Amino acid sequence: MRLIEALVSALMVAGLYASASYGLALIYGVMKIINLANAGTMMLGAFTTWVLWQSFGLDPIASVIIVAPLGFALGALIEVLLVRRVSGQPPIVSLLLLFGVWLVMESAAYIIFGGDTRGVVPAYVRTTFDVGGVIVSMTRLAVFIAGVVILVGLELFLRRSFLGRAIRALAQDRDACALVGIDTKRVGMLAFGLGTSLAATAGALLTLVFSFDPDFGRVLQLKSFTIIVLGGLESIVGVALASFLLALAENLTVTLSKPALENLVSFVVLVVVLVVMPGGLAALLRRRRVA
Amino acid sequence: MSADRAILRGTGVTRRFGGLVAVNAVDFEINAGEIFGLIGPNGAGKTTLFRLLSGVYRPSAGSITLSGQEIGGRAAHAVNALGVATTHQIVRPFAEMTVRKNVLVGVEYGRSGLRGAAARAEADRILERMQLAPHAETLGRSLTLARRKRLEVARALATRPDVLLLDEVAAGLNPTESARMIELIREIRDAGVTVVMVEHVMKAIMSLSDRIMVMDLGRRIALGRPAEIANDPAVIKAYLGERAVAS
Amino acid sequence: MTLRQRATLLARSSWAHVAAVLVLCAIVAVIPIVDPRSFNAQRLAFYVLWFGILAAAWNIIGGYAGQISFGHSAFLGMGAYTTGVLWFSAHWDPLLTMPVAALVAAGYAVLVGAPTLRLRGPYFAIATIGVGEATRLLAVNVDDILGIKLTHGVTGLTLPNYDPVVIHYATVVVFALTMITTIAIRAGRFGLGLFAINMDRDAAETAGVPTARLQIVALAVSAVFCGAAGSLYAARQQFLDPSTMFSFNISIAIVLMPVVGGIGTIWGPLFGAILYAYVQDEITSLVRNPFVPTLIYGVLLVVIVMFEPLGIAGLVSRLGVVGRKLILPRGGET
Repeated sequence: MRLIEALVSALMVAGLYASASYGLALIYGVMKIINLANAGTMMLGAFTTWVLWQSFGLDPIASVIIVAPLGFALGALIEVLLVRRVSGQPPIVSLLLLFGVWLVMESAAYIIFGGDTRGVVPAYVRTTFDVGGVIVSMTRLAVFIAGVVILVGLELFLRRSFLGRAIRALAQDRDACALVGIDTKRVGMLAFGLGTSLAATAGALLTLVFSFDPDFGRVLQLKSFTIIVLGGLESIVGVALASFLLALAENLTVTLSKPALENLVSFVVLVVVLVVMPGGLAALLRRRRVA
Repeated sequence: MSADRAILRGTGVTRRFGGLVAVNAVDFEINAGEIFGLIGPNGAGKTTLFRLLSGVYRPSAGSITLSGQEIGGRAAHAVNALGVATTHQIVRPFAEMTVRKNVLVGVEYGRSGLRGAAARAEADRILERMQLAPHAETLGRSLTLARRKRLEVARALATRPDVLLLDEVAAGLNPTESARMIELIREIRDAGVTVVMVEHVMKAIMSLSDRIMVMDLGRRIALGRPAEIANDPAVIKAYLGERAVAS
Repeated sequence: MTLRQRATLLARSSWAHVAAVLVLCAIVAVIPIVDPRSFNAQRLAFYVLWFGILAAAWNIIGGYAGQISFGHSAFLGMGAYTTGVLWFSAHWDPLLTMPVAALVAAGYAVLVGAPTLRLRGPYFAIATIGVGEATRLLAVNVDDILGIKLTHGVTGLTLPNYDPVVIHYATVVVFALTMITTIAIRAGRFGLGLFAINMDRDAAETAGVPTARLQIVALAVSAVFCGAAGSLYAARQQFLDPSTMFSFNISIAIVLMPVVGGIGTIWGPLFGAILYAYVQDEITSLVRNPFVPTLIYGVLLVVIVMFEPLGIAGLVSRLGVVGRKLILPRGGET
């Protein structure tokens, strides 16, 4: 019974973690850049949702229709104006650059919105369900479902559409793509836009579960790193799987020891994975297949 | 070949990547003072073998000994300290360092034991030898390919190796530059350094090598003098086979 | 000989840099003697030098070896708490605890550096974010976990008074030691190896550089000075709490100062520290919003990465006082 409880609750949290990490994985996969501004984008997505809710009473889930394209535009802009201009330089350069972008986003939000904690509270926020004997809130379930929908949509897009295939091809071999006539710059811009849009969407959805301030997303950022590293850095399915494993590990830690140590789990997992199995789960699976 | 002449010996050297066996139970003996060529079609495992010799990779099985001492599985800097230096197939100069500094890294961290002014003088001597002296103050990234290749050799040489591994140092050079490089390699050998080289430029390797080992699909398929290799049926098959697939 | 040639010759000599540090320190040292009541100037001097110590220390691992650490508050906090606890519980004189604090910070650096420094570039940077967060969590919870009174958790440690003038001199000395160490490292074999790692770790390794050992030593040396800075802070502020000492914001500041000032250069970290202390002090009192400075740093960081990777030091070289090659971490001069 305890185990089922842990599994269900980990699954719900996993949906949330996965939503926050897809964008990071996509951008890393295609551009080999670690988007340190991911947390900032999530925060902006959350605040945009809050503004829409405050001004027009727009539901956070519905606001995705507005937040997602805005996120895309922001990402595409960052890529064209900044990231593209440091391509070809050591990875540290883009890391510091996007770190600067994050600082700008965070401090701008503090200046505009102040440091108060905010929340979006639609009417159904208190509704709960019984899933296998475990009480799950409607909002958690909604975020989980959204996480699954994004996963399926993203996989379909990457496997079926021409653009999606171009993105996957670019993730595998940039030079070969340039040779066969794929506009690598354009695909890079689209991937960065899409990754940023996913982060903003995650921010919008997470308003249902968390209250937030301009520092929102920082703790999730470290978890997202752990997840994409564990998931093999560029595999969308790997991200989903890794999200679940991390959520489960945290859940067990909290149950077995102290709640305060929950955030320690992701760090320990991160370092262990980085050092022991640098390719993450995906590499482990691939190795099995080849052998 | 008497055993005491062998400086570098491999026994059953194997390296697997997941399910792929890049180097498969290869045996070889490299004699002190010779130029030992390593050839084979693409994917034969030459570069992997080089990385095993230089300590970049750890062998999955087998042993590599330098003058009787096991070096397989040691870290690259430790292998270097024992006397095996390597160049990189894709040249890797320290981009923001001057050419002299590039070589100085090899001198100060190599086996010369020289420091300070003596180390700088040694670096200058090596630059002179490798015909890079006029470019001592140029940054690594602004060199032409031919000079980068020579810098690559110079930096390895600066560590005072007994065995120098040269990975395609003539590739991509025009005939004049290539001839110059061949001359330099011969000089290095004449100065007492054992040279092991991987090369696609057949003219270079055939004219330079005392002996050649041919690899295909991770295995050793031939070993002998250049003239013997050129007429070896297995070698011809491996190369013609590859050409037939390519066309 | 033109002024530029003279400046170039001077800048090539490490002794000239050391002399400049000593002159600067002498000037700062006499502030309390010239005017014992110049509390504001003393406070500003403390912060500039204190930030300077942190920035220059970070520069050893971040600027020279090119391993960006976003977790340096861990070493600062370790030092501060070592002093705090020994002073509070064992009644040691805080300045006597400084060597212990430095050693504890260095030991911790070896502990966390051994696994994380096997990682390359961006992965190391991310792992250090984890190091910082994990250390903060441990510092907050260590009393609960072990059932002892050590850091006093979120309540913090309130410490006795200590003569600020003595701390002023101690800060000057630590700053001088930090700067001289960075100058010496840069001029010598160690710095050459670190810079080779910075450029290309694999190539450095095959050229005989023991990259793993060098990086760990660099992180430990960096941590020594951060730990000493922690001691100074504990002695001066007389209050420590984990969420300040181990905060991500301090880690960010420790990255920003050397990067904005000129990553990998000798004087860049000090330039960055001066700017940081000035902005914190002036702009904050001017606009009364603590986030305006952060916005400024963010914009500066983006601009510097895009247009002038050597930061303020790079700008100074553009003015033509010294040749650009000279300020490169360990590139041009012989």
